[in-house]
Amino acid sequence: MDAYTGRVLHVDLGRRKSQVEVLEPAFLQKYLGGVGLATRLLIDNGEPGCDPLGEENAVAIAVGALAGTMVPCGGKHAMAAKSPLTGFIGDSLSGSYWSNALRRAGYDAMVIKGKAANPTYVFVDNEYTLFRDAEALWGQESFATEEAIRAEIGDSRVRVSCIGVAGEKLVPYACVSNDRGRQAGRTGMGAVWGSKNLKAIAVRGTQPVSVAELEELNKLSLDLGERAQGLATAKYRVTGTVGNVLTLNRLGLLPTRNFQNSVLESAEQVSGEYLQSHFKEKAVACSGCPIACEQVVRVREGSYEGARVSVDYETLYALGPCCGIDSLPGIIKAAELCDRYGLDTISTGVTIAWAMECYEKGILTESDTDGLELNFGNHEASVALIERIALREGIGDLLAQGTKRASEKVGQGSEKFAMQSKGLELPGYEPRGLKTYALGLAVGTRGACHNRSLAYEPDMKGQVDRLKAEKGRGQIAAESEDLAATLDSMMFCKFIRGCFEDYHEEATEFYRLATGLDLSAEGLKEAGERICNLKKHFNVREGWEKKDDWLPARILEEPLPDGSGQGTTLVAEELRLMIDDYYEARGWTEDGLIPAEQLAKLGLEDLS
Amino acid sequence: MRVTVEFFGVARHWAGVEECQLEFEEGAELHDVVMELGRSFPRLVEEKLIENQRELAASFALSINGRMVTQNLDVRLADNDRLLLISAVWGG
Repeated sequence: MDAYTGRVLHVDLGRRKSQVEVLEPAFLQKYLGGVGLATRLLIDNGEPGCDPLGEENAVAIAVGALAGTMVPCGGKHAMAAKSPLTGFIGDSLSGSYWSNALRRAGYDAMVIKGKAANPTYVFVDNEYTLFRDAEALWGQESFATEEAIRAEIGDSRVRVSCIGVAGEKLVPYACVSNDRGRQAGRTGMGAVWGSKNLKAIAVRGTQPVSVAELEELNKLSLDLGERAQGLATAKYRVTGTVGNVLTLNRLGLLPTRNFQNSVLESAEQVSGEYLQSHFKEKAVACSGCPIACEQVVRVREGSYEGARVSVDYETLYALGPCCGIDSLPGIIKAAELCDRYGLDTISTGVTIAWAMECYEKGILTESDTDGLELNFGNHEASVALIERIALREGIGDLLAQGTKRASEKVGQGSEKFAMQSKGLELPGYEPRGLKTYALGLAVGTRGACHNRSLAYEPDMKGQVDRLKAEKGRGQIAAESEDLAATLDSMMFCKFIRGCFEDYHEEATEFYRLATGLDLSAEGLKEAGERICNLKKHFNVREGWEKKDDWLPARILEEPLPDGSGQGTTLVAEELRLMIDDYYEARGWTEDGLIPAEQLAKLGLEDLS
Repeated sequence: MRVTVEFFGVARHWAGVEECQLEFEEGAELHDVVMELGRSFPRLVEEKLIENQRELAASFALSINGRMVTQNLDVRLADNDRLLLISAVWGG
């Protein structure tokens, strides 16, 4: 077996011990790597029913089979743990050089358990694993932490994954950052690290990565790299994902003012085009990526002068239109603060938007908000809130809990406009106008997520009527989840998916040439289904109930007030119909549970 | 009859304008619009957004009046339609 190392590094922070587990090729082939492997390792190593912020929760981190090879866009890592935000599976990806370093240090994955007595960082130095004091780093921002650790080790090749202050303060939507600006953003992995007194994992990997058929893999990689300069990635390369803003606005799909509107009147001011012409500094790429979607922007004048950050569409939506904010300098400053403190920008923005609506409705007053005037559009208030959330000070302590818990605490009907599912805040596409996508959000194992379900694609390509809820969407949603699971486990960036003529055939060829292991296209598809079932199994183990697959009351009770889809509804009966259809397509029971025979069919009989 | 085409994202970048107006005979289809766009904005052909004179590349789509989105161009136009030339590639 090549590419894979067949080794998992187990780290016990409490005992300051590490050991290596050897994985068999058949096991790796079954779960592929990335999300698939991390989820399986979490199931095997995390304590069922554990407190997400307790010592018994495990953090599993896995790279893909192609990490460290020449294959374009194959270098990411996945992180899985029980989420402190949702109580279900937390899984999050980050594009990085960190993944290459872990592979080159000799590992396919890491599992971290226990809790360090004091702030600690783990240094994986090829075959050695060292536990180092992080007292001096505790309280430092993520960017500074990366630099400080590299300086301490004295080697610029060291790659660092770390948490900011929000993770230390156990904000349940704190992220884990690496490579100065890449994040495993969603579901609060940073808080899990913080609960373990784990500030960072630094990796120095200098060993070569072998591949089974070097010449052929090189040839195929160069070909894919060339294709990645074509039309399928033009959007990402030319405008970045922020190019979504005007299109979604025109289609009436841009969630605005906490989903009260789907059109922002001043969208031009926060458009990707405006960002490019007024703030763009450069585009940057993740490891091995020929696309370079990430837009680094800088504020050049005014009260936020000097703010500098990478902005993608979801960040811009959440901290901008969702909060009614049309000031790009204000959005850039807010995004920079989220990155420095280590906060998921989507959950942060949507939680602030909820607070703004509470304020405008009189549910929260200035006596609750530390005197801040939380009107929609107030970017100064948004910037002030982010610091309070990260430090859990004043109103920030309430908002640090996310929209689900904060609204349960505040009540007064605010639960109806808490824009979350399973506790995870909604991404930036209006579900009332994208019915298949709405189903994907409702049944998503990690909560409302556009990345684990790609169900917006058939809606947005016109393959189905995006405004109609009907039977048949269940199969489409299931297939889109399976596809996403294979991408997230092969660890191909989703932005290169359009460059494949036949993704399953070509991906398995990359896999074969790299690892020397045979995997058929059908086998890859089945692995996707297996991984989705694995994640669902984790949720059931942790107390999932049918009612958890649902959408916020606002989506189901209020028609779209404006835009080209004005008047469009998604009523509860329609969502129920699609969810039942999805369970049937999955081969699950009417209650959404996985029958034993379904687990056995997927080779998961040991989980029955 | 007259239709308006609005450009978004890379299509706007390459067309160099935000929108244009086009005239057609009764019975024209989206294919005819794409052909006319290729003539009026050669960069769209150079960049292969328009293929075989009358087809859109798979990574693009047209929306009719902001509601229906389609990659099927066998659709007849109506007077005063507003067509949006958009990317069919999403994610963020």
